[in-house]
Amino acid sequence: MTEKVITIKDVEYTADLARIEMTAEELKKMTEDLNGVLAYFKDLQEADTSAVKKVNHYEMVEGERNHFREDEVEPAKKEVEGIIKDNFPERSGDFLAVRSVLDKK
Amino acid sequence: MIKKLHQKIQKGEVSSEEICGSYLANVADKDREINAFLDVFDKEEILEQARQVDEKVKQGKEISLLEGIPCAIKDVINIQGKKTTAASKMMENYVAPNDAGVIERLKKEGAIFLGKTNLDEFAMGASTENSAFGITKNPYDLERVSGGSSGGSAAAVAAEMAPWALGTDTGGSIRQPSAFCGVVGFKGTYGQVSRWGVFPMATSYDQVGPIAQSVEDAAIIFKTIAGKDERDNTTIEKSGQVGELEELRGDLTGRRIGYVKEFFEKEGLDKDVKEIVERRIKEAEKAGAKVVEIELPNFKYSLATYYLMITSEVSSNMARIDGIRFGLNEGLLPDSESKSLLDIYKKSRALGLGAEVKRRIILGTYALSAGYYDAYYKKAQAVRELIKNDLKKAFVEVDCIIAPTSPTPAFKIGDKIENPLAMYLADIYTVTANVGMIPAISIPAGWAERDGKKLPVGMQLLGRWWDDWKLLDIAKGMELGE
Repeated sequence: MTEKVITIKDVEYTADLARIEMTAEELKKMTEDLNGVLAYFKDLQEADTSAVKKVNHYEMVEGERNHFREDEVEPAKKEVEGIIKDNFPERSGDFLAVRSVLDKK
Repeated sequence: MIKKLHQKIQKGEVSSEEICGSYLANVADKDREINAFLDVFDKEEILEQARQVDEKVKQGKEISLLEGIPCAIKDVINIQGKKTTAASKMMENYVAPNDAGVIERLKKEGAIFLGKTNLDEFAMGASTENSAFGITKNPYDLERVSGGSSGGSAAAVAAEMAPWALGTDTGGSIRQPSAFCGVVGFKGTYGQVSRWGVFPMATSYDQVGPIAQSVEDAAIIFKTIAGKDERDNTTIEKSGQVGELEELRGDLTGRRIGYVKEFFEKEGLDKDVKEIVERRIKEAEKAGAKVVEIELPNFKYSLATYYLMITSEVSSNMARIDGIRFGLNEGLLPDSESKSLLDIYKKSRALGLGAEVKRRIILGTYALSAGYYDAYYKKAQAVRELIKNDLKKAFVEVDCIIAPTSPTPAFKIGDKIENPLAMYLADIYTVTANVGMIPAISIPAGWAERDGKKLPVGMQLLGRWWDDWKLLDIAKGMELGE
């Protein structure tokens, strides 16, 4: 008897946001699974976090601060570039081919 | 094991070629049943590398510790020119354009790669049952799982198909399969090892680490792969500044071992596992260690914190898997039904990803969505701080904390796969180290008999931030004799 936290409509909407197409059957099973897991997560709300002033944006690991470097562009090695291009599902010369994004009216 | 092999190669008693050949023979002999490897590299290519090391030895040159010794690599870690499938249909034909940071370091030391090992798809799971390319079976009982997600690496080492392997650990994925397969698995402090060139699962949790036959072997590998990498900004100057191998003496005198009563009273903890780990605590005491009872008041929130945060990070990291730049693209299939770019995203992901990966992406997307973000992701982040604080206090009083690795020995194939929460609960003892970003190791602790078969039981030691070397030293002191 798991409590309903998430409805099938919520899952359908979320799956759409996550860009995953799902069948009606998959949606039903996913909703059941997620309700089981979310019921377990509910306990977390009891934790008293009022004293937590900051989260690990600043302290990734105990005593350490974030590290930054300049974002410098380095040319890719030929071999690396070749494999990246070979991984393209569809290719037009040195370019990655994708279907047009805009509808032709 | 590694030291012995090294000395034999260096003295010319056994050649690297013979060693690599004998491990390859074991793979050919055993892996049809176990299915630890997704890809075994070309034999001639491997043996040629070995012969080059042998040639060096013949010329009287000194070789490094890992040189000429073979190993296996979890298939989320890039080796240039080889496939990285992440055990997903989506990535079945993906070829790695570069070497991961850890692979660069291993190549420099002359390690020889035998192949890539099986895992739960994109490292999401605790049994390898989520692999798109078949389950890795437990070498001790083929009806049981090898654990996960680094099940292929652990099974390969346990079945002597490789002397050591690399795994990745986001919530126990090195330690739990190591416990199930009776080998040693170690993940260092977050920031010790570069993740560059490793497929990310949950970026604020992932660490790469060794799976080996002894604590000393794990230490040798860890020392090699740890260190600063400009391309992974979580590695810092301190990374890899560990001690010397000779310092690992395993002397437990005066070591303070933290005992958390709650760990051993937890519902679901197997009686044999409890007894075995408690016996090992008593033995450590006899060897001079001091057992100190401590409390981790927020331990009870570890698992929920872990799953909320990692699914959120998963949903973000997995966004790149859309079939456009690499991987399975539904729009190019002969029977494609895609009419738009959006269709290609949705249908490619529907077709290429397994049930658990979809579950985590959707759960994470939900936890991050407007209206739920504060209650889920933000709350979990705050609780993570509470857990880190608990650990901070504990490590003033103790040098390490002892725990079972998994609540049970290896479970049967099919037992948990239909019930995601039951599978998640298998991670109950391992996730704390990742939530706390601390180092943790699983070492063999004893044996439990099930259905007439002896199954390995592991125990876990958790250490303080950056005290990785001290943790390895204590683990060596608690290691079972040969």
